[in-house]
This record gives sequence, structure tokens and C-alpha cells, in this order.
Amino acid sequence: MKKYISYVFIGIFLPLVEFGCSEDYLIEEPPHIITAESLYKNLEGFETGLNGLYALVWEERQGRSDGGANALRAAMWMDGTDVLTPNRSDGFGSVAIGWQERNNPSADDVTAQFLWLYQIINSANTVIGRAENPGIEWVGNGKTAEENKHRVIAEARVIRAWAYRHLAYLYGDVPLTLEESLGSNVRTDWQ
Amino acid sequence: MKLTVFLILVSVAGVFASKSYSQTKTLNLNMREATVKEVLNKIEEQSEFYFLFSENLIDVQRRVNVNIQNQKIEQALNLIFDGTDVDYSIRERIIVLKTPELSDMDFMTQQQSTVSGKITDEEGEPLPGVTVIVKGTTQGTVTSANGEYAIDDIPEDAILQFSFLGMRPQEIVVGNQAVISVVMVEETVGMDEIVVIGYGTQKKSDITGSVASLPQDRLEMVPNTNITQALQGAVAGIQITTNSAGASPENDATSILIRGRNSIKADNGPLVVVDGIPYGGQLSDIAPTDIKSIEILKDASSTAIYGSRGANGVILITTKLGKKGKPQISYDGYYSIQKMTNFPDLMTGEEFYKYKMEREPDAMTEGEQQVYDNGTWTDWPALALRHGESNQHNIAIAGGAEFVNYYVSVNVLDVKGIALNDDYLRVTNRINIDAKITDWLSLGTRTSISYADQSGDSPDFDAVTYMNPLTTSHNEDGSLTIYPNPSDTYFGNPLQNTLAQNQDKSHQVITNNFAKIDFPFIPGLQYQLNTGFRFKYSDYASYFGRDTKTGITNRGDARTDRAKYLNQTIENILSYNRQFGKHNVFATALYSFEKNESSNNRLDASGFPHDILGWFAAGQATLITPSYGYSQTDLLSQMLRINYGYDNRYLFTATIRRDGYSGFGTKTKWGEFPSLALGWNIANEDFFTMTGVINNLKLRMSWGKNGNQSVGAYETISRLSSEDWVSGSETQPGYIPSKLGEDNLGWESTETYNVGIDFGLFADRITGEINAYRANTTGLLLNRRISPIHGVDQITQNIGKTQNQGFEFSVSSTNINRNDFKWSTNANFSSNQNKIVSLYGLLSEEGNEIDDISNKWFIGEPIRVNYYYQVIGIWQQEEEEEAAKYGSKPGYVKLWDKNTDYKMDSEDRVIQGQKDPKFIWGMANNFQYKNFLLNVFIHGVHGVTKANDLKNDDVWTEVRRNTTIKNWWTPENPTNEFYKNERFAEQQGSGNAIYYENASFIRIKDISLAYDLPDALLSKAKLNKLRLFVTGRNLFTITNFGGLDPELSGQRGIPLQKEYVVGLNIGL
Repeated sequence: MKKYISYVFIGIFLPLVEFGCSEDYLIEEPPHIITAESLYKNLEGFETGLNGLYALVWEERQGRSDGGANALRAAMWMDGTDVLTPNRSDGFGSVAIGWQERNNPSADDVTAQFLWLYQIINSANTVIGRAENPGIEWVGNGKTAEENKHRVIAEARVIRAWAYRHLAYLYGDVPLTLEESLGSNVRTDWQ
Repeated sequence: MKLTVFLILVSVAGVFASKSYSQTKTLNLNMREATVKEVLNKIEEQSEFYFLFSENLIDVQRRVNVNIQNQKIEQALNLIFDGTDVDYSIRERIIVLKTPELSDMDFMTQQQSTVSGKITDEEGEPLPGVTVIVKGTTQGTVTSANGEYAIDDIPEDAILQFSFLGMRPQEIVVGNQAVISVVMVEETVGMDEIVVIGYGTQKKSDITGSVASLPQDRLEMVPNTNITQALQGAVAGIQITTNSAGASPENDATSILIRGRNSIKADNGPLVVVDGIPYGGQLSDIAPTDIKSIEILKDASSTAIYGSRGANGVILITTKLGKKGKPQISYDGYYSIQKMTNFPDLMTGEEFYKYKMEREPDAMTEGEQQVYDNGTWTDWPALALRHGESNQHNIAIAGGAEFVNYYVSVNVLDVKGIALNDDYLRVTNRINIDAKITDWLSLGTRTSISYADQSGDSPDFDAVTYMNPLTTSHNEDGSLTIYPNPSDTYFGNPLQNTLAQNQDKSHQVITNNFAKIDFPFIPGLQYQLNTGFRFKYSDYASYFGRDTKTGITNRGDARTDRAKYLNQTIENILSYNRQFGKHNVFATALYSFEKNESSNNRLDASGFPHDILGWFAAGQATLITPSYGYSQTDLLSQMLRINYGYDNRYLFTATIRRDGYSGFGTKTKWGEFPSLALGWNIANEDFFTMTGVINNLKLRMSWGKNGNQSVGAYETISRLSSEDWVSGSETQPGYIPSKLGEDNLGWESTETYNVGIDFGLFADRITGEINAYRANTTGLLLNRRISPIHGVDQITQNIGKTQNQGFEFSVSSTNINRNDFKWSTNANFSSNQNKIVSLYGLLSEEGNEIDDISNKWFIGEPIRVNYYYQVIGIWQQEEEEEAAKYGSKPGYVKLWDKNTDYKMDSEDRVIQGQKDPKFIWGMANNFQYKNFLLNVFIHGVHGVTKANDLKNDDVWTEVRRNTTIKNWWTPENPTNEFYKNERFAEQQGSGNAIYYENASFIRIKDISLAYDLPDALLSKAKLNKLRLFVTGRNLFTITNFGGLDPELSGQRGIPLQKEYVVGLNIGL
């Protein structure tokens, strides 16, 4: 009997032992995805972060990417003010026309603008925050490390300020966030 | 690397079922002065052997001494009957004891009212030991060693009954026949049936979980292109959600729901396992003719062995294998004609003209006016549809010799769907072999190679149903127009897809190989090494030239997409199956590794200099955008399962599985999934006296936890996405954060309780099962909306909770079985209640949990509901004052103002029914008269509410699109059915009208009539079987739904088809 039990155990554990140390199989290493860790390591990475910021700012003169081709983002600075009023109820125009009824969070135009501006702020926070990390290759472009680093942070700050300015003019008092958003610092208690 | 080394080092062997039971079964007996009868009983207890003998001829009271250890049955019998003239013959598990007198039968003289004959089995082998009785008397005999029998003094109107264990009993009227020879057919009935469960097989009577087998008739005689069509309505608890119809409907595992919808965001499809290896490919690549059986595992106990993937149920597919004997060659073929079942009633040119003139006469364009005046309007749906046809040919050879069993098949399916240019060609080749190399080693393979060709692009039916009829489809020279309405060049020709060059091919190889070792020194211990390898390559390319609007606008538009899929699985399975007296132990341990990899490259190009080379000229295009995709997941698992049975009465199963999956977050890579189940075969109890009526009664209870892997690869990593910026004329790459990472993201966990009863009445004349279950799913993956202040407005977390509870009932009965007529029924019914228990855990001021209104997820309601303003009628003339309060007028739609505040806003939206069904049932009736067979299969789905997307006037400003003809409100026709033909008549304040209708339906899915050529003609033609059949599919539907089809989820796509099939099965 004992002989049999030991055979059974060997039969089960032998293959287990063989494969036991291959748990590193489970760690994911995607060759095709960019993460903040892999990008923000040198000047070039930060430049692409800035390019992303500029691209977001450019969206001011584009329609909303989520299907409202006629919903010009910049329309919100203009429609419904003393400057102009729309004759066609598309995009923000429909909110401006139906101000009493439609100027509330259920209007897509109102919420989409809010998200877009904070998207700019979060991207800027990411650049500003990670620029302070040690061990980044700042040298390049024929300038010193200090110059590049300060320029990058400065550009990000300008754009962030631009976004906050629009937020304040559109929505009044809005929460101030200066930190990069991570899965671990999600909060619901903004003031 | 280690794996391959291990594989080479370990030489594995096993014995497969080709070795007979009598040669492997060993007995232990230690009896002194016991009667022969007692010894035989003891042998029957210890094994599955069953003795057949006549006590008159064999002295069973004789006392003997028997002492054997691990001897085979033959040695035991030799010992017992040593010195007597008793002889025995062993057929599998049946042992017939006989004396020489029986073989004297040959010399009986033929007297009047004597009947004799020879009984053989399906292969022509004589059957000794068959009981032949004159019905209603005790007069009878048993066939001799060469299958012959003779009975004399038979009364005039006698009926002879032939019965033999494991074979279908037969009754034959004697009449004035003097010789009656019978062929007995094998039949595994009811509880002795062997059923495939995960990682092994079990007798149905030993199963403690909820396992359902697909009735065989759903796989034969019906034109199934893939198995989801066979499953629909045939097994309790299964719901098939068809997204589209067409030549090869995209029915994949994702469209199958077992016992309701558990997950909100993740995939709800079951795990599909083919020949023991999980299958991640398309179900349409498996030919239904290659399938021997399909088992569906539904409750936690049966699926727990699949751990992190078992929460949605498991479908086990087993492919065919030959049996020992003459090779069976068979040909199955069918040809079918297809027509559509239903198409929306769109307006004709004339009706549309009248409609437009009523609505916006100033918007009538010159082009439309001209078409109307000439009377040359177009019926677009008629142009986009055609008569479909399909044919399938399948040749299979199955057979076996002493040490080898095989099955080889070739299947060709060619479908020309009802939509223009919708073609599907599939060729599959399968080779299944089991080979016994030595006593303890056997090897096998299940290999299939398939090729699918879906080239040819069919018209966009969304565009077809909206297309303005006052347009021209063809030019004078017969070619398609590019702009059907020259005055409105926004719309291209909806048939333009048929002009595109389109190539869509794929090749797939699946090869599952295994090796089994039966340890020679430990009886019952077996090791199996299972390896699975699947490789699929798909090649897609399309080009729109300048004879289409897309081609002109983009100056040639091409897209190519090549993808490669690779799956590798290695499983080590150790199992121990042993009977100790009344105790039966079956233990299984598993260690497995699975890797799935896919990669694709895609190219989009436009701005071609010419159309001559199609997409091959992409190198010369002006705008070329390549892209690459990649994904890899790995799974490591360990599993242990113990089945214990006592005396076939008490059953106990415990399993535990541990899965490590690369897609889970770094803190939660491993999950444990346990389960427990109990079974009680009440009918085998001594105190159970109703065995005459209820021959089988089993109570099952199970509890278990399993997971839904749901998390895709790379979901837990935070990532940036590209947001490029153009500086001057150069594109600069840019990246912004787009997804927040979550390092404790894991599986969705489902805890299920299941109680079931299996029953069999009147000697299995009626069998069935009843199940009641409750499944609670926690840790649902939900995209929790977080404040947009984060810059990213959602994050995926495991937070939700849902519940599914329901009831299933399925029954199989032989209603009439007399003379030459037989009527049997297979029916199943299931009801499921689905509800969300919790979402984000946020509480309102009163302490109730807050719903997620923007996603339409409400606590206490099913996951998929309709939530919108409710249409309650049309404002009539008398209600003009009331209508004005809403800013509306007579003829406009009347929406329900829930809080009667004269404003239509978000407060007035109501839940209007659920999108998933409440009840599903299916019933198949089989009628057999002599050689004719009629099978009728009906399927019903109830409790579904869907939006009728065809009931609206969404024709756009200036009436540029078509819509269905309706009963519009006019002052002369003050109906409540539909609103006025006027702009804004579908609005009330800021609410719009959407008609939600009851989409329940009953559909006669299949009616088949078959004729089997009678045995006399068959033997003349030297055939084994010849069957001719005609089948109609989707012939009749009963529904109140006004949309395209209550079964399809999209209302503007290719309609479901009716099929008329003619088929032939030949067996040689």
C-alpha cells in the first residue's frame, strides 16, 4: 500500500515540480502598448507628451470626436453670449437656444467640454509631475539638461493654466488638481 | 523549453477502451463452501458483469471454494465450473452460462406451430443468450451459442418478445411464419449512458452536477452550418442571441448564453472545449457532421473544474471515432433553397412621392421628380436580395481493428446566402485515431484542417433599407449608378459593396494529441498527456474602385488585414478509478498550461493612381496607414477532483481548481475555485418500492464558485494613447494618458447553488430532469464612472453584483410505441430571472443604492432593460388644449409624463421591459411509422421587449431617406397607432418617440420528413443505410413584433432565411 501511495505522489508532483518555477509566464509584457513608465524616460518622451497636449488644445477648433461633427468645441466660448447666437440647433447651439431647459449636466455638449479640459489638465500634470523624477535623460536639442527640463515644465504649465482659465470662465469655481490621476488615487470627494 | 524536455523524457503510455472490459477487469474472491449462486452474485457486486443463465439447466446450489486474487474473470469462471459441463461465453459485461443441451437445438424437427430462427447483432455476429418469450406466457427459451432458438406449441395469435441486456427489445407477431430471425440493435438507455464530463467520462447515474446532452436528432437531418443552430432551443437554459443572419452568421460562443446573463461588461459566452482542449476559435470552423455528442455543463459543480472560465457554463464537444469492425463508409449530403422570412414593408416609389409631397413638398429634388415622372423607381431590397442556395457534402469512414480505431471525414459546405454576393465556402478534413500501442500505452489524435472562404462583400442592408426609392439603380448600360440620385450626392449606391474587390479567407489547423498510460502495477491509475495546438491564419483584403462612391471620394480605398492566431495547451491528467466492494472512487488531478497568442497587421490606403491592381498597388497610394496589433495571454492551472460513490446510492463530488492568468492584476494573479456536490440515487434504495413506476429517481445538490476570466490581456496596465499633432506639414507623435491602471483587477466570481432531480418513469419510458438554481456573481468588471476631474472619466474595477435564478425542466418521453408506429417527444423549458444586486456601492440619502442611469443599470432590475420615454398614443383633436401644455398638437406622439410636470425630461423616462428573455422553451416531436420518420421542432422565446427600429419617420430633414409604410394619423384617420406625417411629430418637448414592442415569438424551426429504405432493398443494394429526407427550416413564425425579426438584435440587416432542404444519407 505504501509503495502505491508514494508512486501516486511522485506521479502528481513530478510534473508540478517541472513547471512550478514558470510562474513568470504570467507577467504581462506588451510589446505594443505605451505606458507612462516606458515613455517618460527621456527628452523625446516628454516632447511627445507635449505634442499630445498641443493636439488636445487644437481640438478647440475641431468637432467633438464622439460623433458631433457639427459640435465645434470653441462654439462654447461664443454661442449664447452677446457676441453671437446660432440659428441652427446643432452642438452647443442647441443648449444656447434652449438655455433654460438644456443648460444642465444631461447635455452632452456641457459635459464633454468639462472632460476635455480636465483631460488636458491631467496630461499636463503627468508631464509636470514625472519631469521631477530622477534619472531622466534631459540632454538634447543642443541645449543643457536644465534648459530642456525647465522648458518642458513651463510649456506644460502654460497649457494647464489655459485650461483652468477656460474652466473658470465657463463653470465658475472648479476643483484644482495638480497631481497625475492613478488607479490608486481615485476620489469622489472633490471640493 | 522545460516543457519540451519533459515531454521528450517522459514516455507515456495508456490503455484505451479498445481493450475489452473482460480482459482488464480483475476480481478478488475468497469464499469457502459458498453456493455457486452466491459466488456469481459476489462477482456481480464487484464488477459490472451480469450473468445470464437458466437455473433449470445449471446447478447453482452446488457448493464451491473459491480463492482468487486479482484474477481475470475467465480464470474465476474456470475455477468455479471446473469439472462440470457448464460452458460460458463472455460478451463485454454479459456472461452467458450454458450446457451442451442447448446446442442440440439444431436437431429439432420442424413441427407445426414451431417457430425457430437466428438472432444476430448489427454486425451479423450471432447472439447467444437472447431471451425469447411468447408474450403473456412463461413459455420461452434462450438462444444457443450460435444464436439459434426454437420454440414449439406456439398458439395462433402469439407474439414473440426478444430481449437482451443492452439491446433494444423487439416484439414480432408470429402469424404464420415458421422462421423468425431478428437483428438486435444496441441501445444504451437512460442511466447507464456514458456521458462526457470535463476531463473524463462518467455514467449518467453517477453524475452529481447538472449536465445536459444534446439530443442526437438536432445534429442530423437539419442544415446546420454551425453548432449554435443545433443548440438553439434543444437544451434547457440555453439562449442564442443572433446578431445577424446571412450565409455564415457570426454566431460564436459569444452569442450563447447559458442560464442567463451574469456579466455586465465582460463576455458572457461559455467555454467551448473540443475533445478535451479549450477551443478559442470560431464555432463555424467545426463541421457539425464530425460531432458525436455535445454536453453542456451548467452548474458550479460540473464547471468548477474549469475554474476561472467556468462561470458561464461549458460546452463539451466530442468528435466521432470508429468502432471495431467493418469500416463504415457514409455519405451525407443536402441541397437547400433559401428565401427570406420577413422584410420590412418599405414604401414604394409612388408611396414615397406621396409621403414627401405631404411632408416637405419644397424638398422634392429634380432627380426624384424625374424618376417619378418616368415611373422608373427602384425597389432596393429586391435588388439586394436573391434566392439563396446551399449544399453540403460529407464523406466519412469510420472503423476499427484490434488495436486501432479511426474516423476520417471530408466535409464541403457551399452557401450562397440570400443577400447578394454573400457567399461562404468551407472545406474541412478530419482525422481521428486511437491506437493501442502496448498493454499500457495508447496514443491518439484528433486533427482537423479547415479552410473557409467568405470572399465577396454584400450590400450594406442598413443603407438598403434607408435608400430613397425615387432613385436609379442602374445606368443604361446595365452598370450600377454611383450616385442613384444625381441631385443628392451624399448617398452612394447601396449596392456598391458588390463592386468592391473582396477577399476573405482563412485556414485553420487544430490538432489535439494525447497519450495515455495505464500503470501496470497500480490498477485503476492512469496518466494522460493531452496536447492541443491550434493555428489559424486569416487573410482579408478589399478595394473600392472608382465605380463606387467610396472609391471616387477617396480615389481608391483599400484595406488589408492579415491575422495569425496560435493556441497551445498542455495538460497532465492523473486519474484513479477503482471499485472497492461497494465503494467507488474516481479521483482526477490536473496540471495544465495554456498560451494564446494573436497578432495582426492591417493596412489602410487611399489615393490610388488607378484601379487596375486593386489593393496590390498600395505602394503607390498617397495615404498609407499601417497598424499592428498583438495580444498574448497565459494560463497556469492546477485542479483536483474526487468523486466518491457508495453502492450506487450515495454520491459525493468535491473539486478545487487554482488558476493563474496573465491578464489579472499583479496583486491578484491567482484564484481558487472550489465546489461540492451530493447525489442520492433514491431509486436504488431498499426502501424505495415504487420501482415499477419510478425506475430512476436521483436527487442532486451542488454548490460551487467559478470565475469569468472576463479581463482581457493588458487591461490592468495604465496606458497612454496617441494624440498626434501636426506642426507645419509634419505630423509629430504625441501621447496622453488614456487609461488608469488597476493592479488588483481580477476575475468575476460566480457562486452557484443548484438542486436537481433526475427521474425515469415506467422503465425509462419517460425520463427527464428538473433543476432549480441561483447564481450570484460578484466582483463584476464595471467601468465605474469617476469624476471627469481625473482627466479620465472611467476606470475598470471589480465592483458590481448580479444574480440569476431560475428553473429548468426537460423531459423525454416515448408516448406511443406499438405496432409499427412510434411517437416520442423531447421537450425543455427554462425560466430565468436576472437582476442587478449592486453596482458601485454608492448610497443615496435614504440609504438606498444609487442606480447608474446613464448606462441604464438599475438595482433590482435585469442587466439589459429598455429605459426611455413611453409612448402612450397620439394626441387627438379633442386633446388639443392638453397637448398645447406640452408644446405639442393633435397628431403628434403622446409620451407619458410620469411626474405630470408638463416637462419631458430625464425624470419621465421609465423602464419598459427587458431585452433578455424570461422564458425559453423547445419541443421536438418524432413520429415514426414503418420506414417514415417525421420530426417537428418548435422553439419559443418569451418575455423580451425590443425597440422597433422600423417604426419611425427618421427620414432626415428634406426627406432624403425611405421608411416603412405606416398607418399615419390624419384628421380623417384619428388612429392611435402612429403619429402624423410631419416634422417634429415624433417629439414632445425634449422627448422622442421610440416604440418598444413585445418581441416574444414561437417559431417552427425545423420540420423534417425522412424515409429509410427497407432492409430487404438495402441488402439487395449491399447498403447499410439509405435515408432520404426533406426539411423545412424557419417556416412559420408567430410573433407580435413589428420589426425585421424578433430573433435578430439588429433590425436593419440581412433577414433570417427560410430554408427548404433535400438530403440523402447513405451508409455502406
